[in-house]
Amino acid sequence: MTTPDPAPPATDPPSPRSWGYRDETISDRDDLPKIAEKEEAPEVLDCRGQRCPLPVIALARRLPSLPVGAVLRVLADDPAAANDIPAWCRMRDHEYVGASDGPAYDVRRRH
Amino acid sequence: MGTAGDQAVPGTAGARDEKPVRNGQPTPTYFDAASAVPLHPVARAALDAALDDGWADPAKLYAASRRANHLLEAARGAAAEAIGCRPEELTFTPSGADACQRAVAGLLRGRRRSGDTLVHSAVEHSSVLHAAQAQVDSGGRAVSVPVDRLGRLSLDAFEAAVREPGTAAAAVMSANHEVGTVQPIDLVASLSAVVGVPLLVDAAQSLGRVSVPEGWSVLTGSARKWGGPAGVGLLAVRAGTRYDAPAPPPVSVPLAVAAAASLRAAVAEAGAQAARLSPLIDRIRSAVATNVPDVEVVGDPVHRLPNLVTFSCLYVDGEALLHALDRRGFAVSSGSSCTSSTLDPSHVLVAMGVLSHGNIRVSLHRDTTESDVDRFVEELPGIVAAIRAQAGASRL
Repeated sequence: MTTPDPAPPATDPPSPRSWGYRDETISDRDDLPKIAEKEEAPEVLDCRGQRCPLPVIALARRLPSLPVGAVLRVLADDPAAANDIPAWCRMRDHEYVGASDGPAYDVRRRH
Repeated sequence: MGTAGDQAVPGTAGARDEKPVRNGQPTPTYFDAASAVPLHPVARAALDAALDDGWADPAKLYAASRRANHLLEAARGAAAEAIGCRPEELTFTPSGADACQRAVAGLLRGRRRSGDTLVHSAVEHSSVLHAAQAQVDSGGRAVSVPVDRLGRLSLDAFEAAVREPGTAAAAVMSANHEVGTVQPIDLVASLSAVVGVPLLVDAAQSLGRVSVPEGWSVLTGSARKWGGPAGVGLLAVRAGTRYDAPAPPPVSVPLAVAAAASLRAAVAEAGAQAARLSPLIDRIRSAVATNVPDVEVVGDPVHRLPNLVTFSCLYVDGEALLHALDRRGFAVSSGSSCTSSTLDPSHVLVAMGVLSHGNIRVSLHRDTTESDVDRFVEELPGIVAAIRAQAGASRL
């Protein structure tokens, strides 16, 4: 590393992808306009096609990388996710914000 | 149940610590009493005798037929006495599920002039829920009453539901088959009786384990869960209940005799078995909570069946856990979605709002020994840890 980097990278380095889930976030996507308000544009974790407990494992791995107070949106079509994501939030003392179409489940990091 | 019992340690009556050995291999440890238990020795003896004496068609007029009919009547009498009803109020059905479905249909039909709504707890056995769905499909209504995190029925919601005009019948199980929570049937029965709504109590899990509930209009049970043969259910309808259903198809006389004999034995032994098994369940509950990280023991810790415990392990695939336990010789059950044919999680765990993945139900019976339980609590932490490590979920 003798050549100095001319500029810092524009985005964060990609997260490890070894767990089989697509962890693309809205901020990674250049086909969408960048939205300034973090509250309106939560990070997205796409676990569609995965069966429980994989979406919950993915959520548990990803949430700690977000700042406290941030919201992570988990896309999961396994019917057990609707039950197990709120249950995980209760066991781990994070805030389950609610569900929306997708099906998507929003979780706020509490600590 | 002979050979192993001869070596039992004196003073451990009923708790045989030597496992039966067949072909030099120890028999697997069977922990799924909530589905079925091995035949009670009394059932086997009664079945043998009834096969000799009760093989004939009980509906004919010759001597062999009269003998079979006499045995069937004696079986009804013994079963009725065990649950506290009159013999004419009791019939045998082809299964416990059949008894439940028949009971719901009979109550709804008998009360069709009063209403078309079935009120039931959210955690009833699927046979009751299917009967509720059939009522909805045929233009009636079904109201599901919620339970709390421990699986306890909301009595306020139940009372409000049975008081609604148009309520024809109510169904509340005595104890839940997946988490073991025991419902306050005496209170449920008086809330129903006040408004004249007949109550079906599915007692499949509690007969022969805790005292027989009171206050029911219809009571159902399943012989293979109390040590009787598979293929016999029990349906008791209190005299005076508005009930309209065709008689169930005739049940094999020898099976009915074996079911009744074992019911009487199981009810008589229930107190002693509960006193022996309850501390073993307590041992599993505390060992699981202490030695397995991130586990949720579910169900009411106090008002529960003495022989059943259910827990959910975070980040663990229920099917993988079931198979791993099976390889170590433990037969258990699971409410996780991956173990069900529909891939839906257990409606009981969902109604309680508890974790549904990594779920294991352990249910003990009269042949369970202390060493079975010791081996389970010893091996479980390592099995769970190995599955988590494989999923990369060890330190989440």
